[in-house]
Amino acid sequence: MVDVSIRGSFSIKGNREELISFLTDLNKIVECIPNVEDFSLIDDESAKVKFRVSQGSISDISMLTANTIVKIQKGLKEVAYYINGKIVGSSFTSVISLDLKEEEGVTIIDWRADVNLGNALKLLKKVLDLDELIRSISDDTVKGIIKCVNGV
Amino acid sequence: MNSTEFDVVVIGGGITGLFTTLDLTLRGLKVCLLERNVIGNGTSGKMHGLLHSGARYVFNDVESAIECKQENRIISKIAPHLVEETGGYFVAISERDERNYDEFVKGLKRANINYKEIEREEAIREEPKLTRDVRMVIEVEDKVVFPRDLMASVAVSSYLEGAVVLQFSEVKGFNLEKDHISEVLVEDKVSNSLRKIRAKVFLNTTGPWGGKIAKLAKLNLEVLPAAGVMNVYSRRLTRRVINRLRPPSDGDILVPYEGESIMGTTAVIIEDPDNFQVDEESVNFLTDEGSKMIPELSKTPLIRSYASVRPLIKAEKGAREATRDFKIIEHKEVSNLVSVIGGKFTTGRLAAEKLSDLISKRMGLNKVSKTQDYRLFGSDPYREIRDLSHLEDISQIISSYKGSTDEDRGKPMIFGFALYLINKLSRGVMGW
Repeated sequence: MVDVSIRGSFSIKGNREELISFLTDLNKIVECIPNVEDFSLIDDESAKVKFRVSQGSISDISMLTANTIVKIQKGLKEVAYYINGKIVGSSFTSVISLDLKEEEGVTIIDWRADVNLGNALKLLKKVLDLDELIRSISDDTVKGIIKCVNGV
Repeated sequence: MNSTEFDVVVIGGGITGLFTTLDLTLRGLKVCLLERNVIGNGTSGKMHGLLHSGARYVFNDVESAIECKQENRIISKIAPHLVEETGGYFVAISERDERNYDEFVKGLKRANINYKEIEREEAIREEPKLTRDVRMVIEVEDKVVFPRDLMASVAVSSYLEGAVVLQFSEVKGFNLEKDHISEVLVEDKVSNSLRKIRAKVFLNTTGPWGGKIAKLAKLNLEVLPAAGVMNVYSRRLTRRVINRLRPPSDGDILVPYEGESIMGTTAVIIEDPDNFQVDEESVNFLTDEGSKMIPELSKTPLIRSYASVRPLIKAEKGAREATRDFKIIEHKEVSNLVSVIGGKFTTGRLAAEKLSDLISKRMGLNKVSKTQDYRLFGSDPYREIRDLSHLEDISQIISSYKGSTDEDRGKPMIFGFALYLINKLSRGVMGW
């Protein structure tokens, strides 16, 4: 059972193969994500990533820290990121999958993020609009990736 | 069972409950404070020791920043003996921190908070243990406050002004009549008996325990407890408070606390404020983050870690209380119960003043708060304790410290004795 699911789509000029190679290069992709504060590679397919995300509702902790391990899975037409982490002391998992279709020199990327929240994290919904927070983090991430890829 | 009547019963002996007790007593009301344990034993007594200049909040909550600035001055004025004027540095140690600089300075100006830009070299001269990676430094008027002694001071002052301050008195229930509480049922842990206290108004100032108290009045009050871990290291590493130049987050404050250093803090959501453990991950995280600002921290022995449980609330922009981070809730279903949730230690007096304004208005009193000018108990504790104690043996033990090597070290002991005495004397007033 998924707690939050978000979908979207964007297109980028360029061929699919190059894009997949970019999206699965952890060194490059973390540079595109605005909320990444620190990262270290574990191997070619996984990394420890520390995110610091902004939320406006609680003044004492307007930035929340998430310590995660991100693992990449690469296919011919798709890329998936498996994220396991902890934020405010509670665990969460997320799978971000991207399907890439190439049409006349443009690659269309349909993406979907499924997030599972730990029990303690669900309690945060009492004081935070968690769905909105996840949506805005996803938006920032997608915008960051588009900006980066367009610069490739 | 005994029954005694008051104008107001305040439940919870943390900073808000204590200042509310003092405030309402100074306005002429008959007030009783109930604390289930010892004064300051909950959230307020486990804060990090930082009396905010307000600078920390200029990024995201200017109202809080302005309130902190004002309260910083008031607390320094009414309890100078419990505040150390350390000053504080906000340090940018990464490119990302540096990007916050303009917004930070803009915020400081907007909140009218005094600050001074410090040259990197000067900052390192002043604070030699600061990382050599430091890029930018801004000095602000952060201070250090001794929370337990401050709360004991407020409790004793309240007693001396006429309040009854009962410790080891746990609220177990309420007797309800139609839409209001007629009396509170209290477990007197000293005599192991159940007592009843009548009052016109009941105030719930129990912080993260607020939901539990509301439930006893058959009310639902959403409070989210979050544990903030603090690490205590064996040496004082800096003269000033060192803050990371970024919006409030975890692991960004190092407080010089007398001879020690306190690194704070984290936010871990918990279900029960009475049942949780400090997690190792938070402890290690704090040392890692602190070492980025003061590298020597990683080599300094960690003496202990502790956690303060904060009640998190959602800020309500546009509401009557603007973006204030404490919320005063007038319960409609139980007309004479009012709860206060949230707030910072630095602004606890202000929350109490706002709450007391509301209660005064409700009771038709036309009196304003006096706590911002009230000099608290304890500036000359060896003399003032004599106002409380007629017990010759205790007086003699305390007095014997004056003029000795340990005159200063003996002062916290006086606050402890004072709490013991006011509990004993308050119990006498109640006939307990």
